[in-house]
Amino acid sequence: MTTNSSEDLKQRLTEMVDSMPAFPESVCRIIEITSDINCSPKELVKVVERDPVMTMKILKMVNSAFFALARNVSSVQHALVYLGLNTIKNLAVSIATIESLPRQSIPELKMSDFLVHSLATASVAQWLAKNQLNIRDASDHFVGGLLHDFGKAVFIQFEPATYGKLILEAKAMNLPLAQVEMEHLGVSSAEVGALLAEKWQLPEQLVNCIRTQLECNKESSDLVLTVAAANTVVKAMHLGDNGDPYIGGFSDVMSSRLGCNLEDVVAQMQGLPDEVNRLLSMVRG
Amino acid sequence: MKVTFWGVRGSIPSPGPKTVRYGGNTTCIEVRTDDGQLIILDAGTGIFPLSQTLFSEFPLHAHIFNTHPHWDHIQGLPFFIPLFVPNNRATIYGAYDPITQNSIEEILRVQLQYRFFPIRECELNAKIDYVSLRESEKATIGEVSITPVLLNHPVVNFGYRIDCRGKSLFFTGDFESPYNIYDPEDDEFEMYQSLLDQKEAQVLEQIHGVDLLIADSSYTEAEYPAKKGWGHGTFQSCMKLAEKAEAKQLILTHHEPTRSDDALEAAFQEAMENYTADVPEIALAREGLSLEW
Repeated sequence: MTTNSSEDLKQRLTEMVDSMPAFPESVCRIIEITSDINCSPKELVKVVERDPVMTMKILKMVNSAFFALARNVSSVQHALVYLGLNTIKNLAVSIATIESLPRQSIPELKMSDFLVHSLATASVAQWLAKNQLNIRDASDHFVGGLLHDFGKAVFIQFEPATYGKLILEAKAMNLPLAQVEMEHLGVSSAEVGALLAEKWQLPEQLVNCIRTQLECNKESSDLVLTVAAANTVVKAMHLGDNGDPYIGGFSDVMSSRLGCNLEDVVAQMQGLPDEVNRLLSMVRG
Repeated sequence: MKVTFWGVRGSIPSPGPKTVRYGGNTTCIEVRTDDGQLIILDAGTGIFPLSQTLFSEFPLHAHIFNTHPHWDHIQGLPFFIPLFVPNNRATIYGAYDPITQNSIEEILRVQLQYRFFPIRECELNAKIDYVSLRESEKATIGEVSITPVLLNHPVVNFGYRIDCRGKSLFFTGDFESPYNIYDPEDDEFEMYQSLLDQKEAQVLEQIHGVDLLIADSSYTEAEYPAKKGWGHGTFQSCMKLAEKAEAKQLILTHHEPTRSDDALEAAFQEAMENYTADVPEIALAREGLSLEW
């Protein structure tokens, strides 16, 4: 793994993610749903938006220079409005069929656990936006939560042995994984995810969220705030796994802006495991 | 500006005794701007009779704008005679296809594969250029500006606004107003509706105030529920669009291929009786119809 953040690195990372397969469960489900010409758009969107790789790839395409849309598209639904159901359907099917390779897991972090962590974070971020910040259209927060750890999936896919060792080291010493990443790779997974999101012209607020989620402060956007807090909530609840053993708590900034503390949110999240199972079952069919 | 319709049927050519008055060719619209440019909107089979009227203008430069690459909008392209004659020029404009990741160049190249057509692209004598357009990015030809607007259809479809010397028209290509995929009781309903509203406002802003709106009105209101999601509009959806965009005149096109002339007139009559749109003039497109202003 190169350790500088040069254009070469960006290019290599982009190529890596371009060749990353989507989650096999959603691939199977998409192929199944779309075998019916009159398939339900609602159901298709649910499956697509719950797969981080597929979501990322679709947003990348819709935000590409070929369309040069006036406003960056930040959710699968938004993409659907611009490009129409069939284009999104075809795109999902082509991503699914071209890339229906077996997805690699590493013993230190199973992809199914990673997906649970991502979906749970998405769900909590959306909940916080709606309930604590009164944001009506919280779909961006779901996407932010879903994609916040995207860089880790890239490392796992392409540097499995190296990244597995880093996870073990972080766990053995109870250190934040980002700190271990910086020490050994010179680049954090948050930065990798952000570089890709940037290269793919995803909306600026989403790029910023992926990049700065671990440094949430009083200047941070609402999106960074909900995703950072949701990440902490999900880790505290030991729901899924993102390889990072360090839980931490809500900072003063998080508590004051959200008007609640970690324990309050955890107490209200008793239904979260069921919600995540519901999201997963939609992906798995 | 002068507009002439050479093909007004949707989906498939439909010649025969029942389609004599409105014609059986698929989409092709000739636009002559006041600064003398020849702009052709879509290359359905109507482009063949158009091409036979152009001999006296050789050498010419035709600007062909493709709304989307479905068969009925490209099928006449290999039969556009000016392409075979030296010193002519054609510039073909269209969208990039995100699914196949091909640009507009692929359209003619695929049609002119030897197994499909006896003449290959490299044997065409005219000079042909291709331009991949981007959403909302204006193309300029002489004094004419052409703005592509992304509209809903099962494939990427550009509607085109043409402006020249204060005169304007908009052609939708194939277009179905996008609808809410959620039910009103779903949590996502409002969010999705707000995205639809934003998109509609953006489209209306681009079409606003045109002298002439040419729109896809394939279906009647009664037919639409069975065809929802197929990517086409209705008589009434076109009237609403024209009213909201404050278009001065609306021409309805992309006639259902199975509809006879009589049935087409009856459907149009019924739509006019059932809807009181505030649009100064509404008429059906017909092969040979010319409008000049």
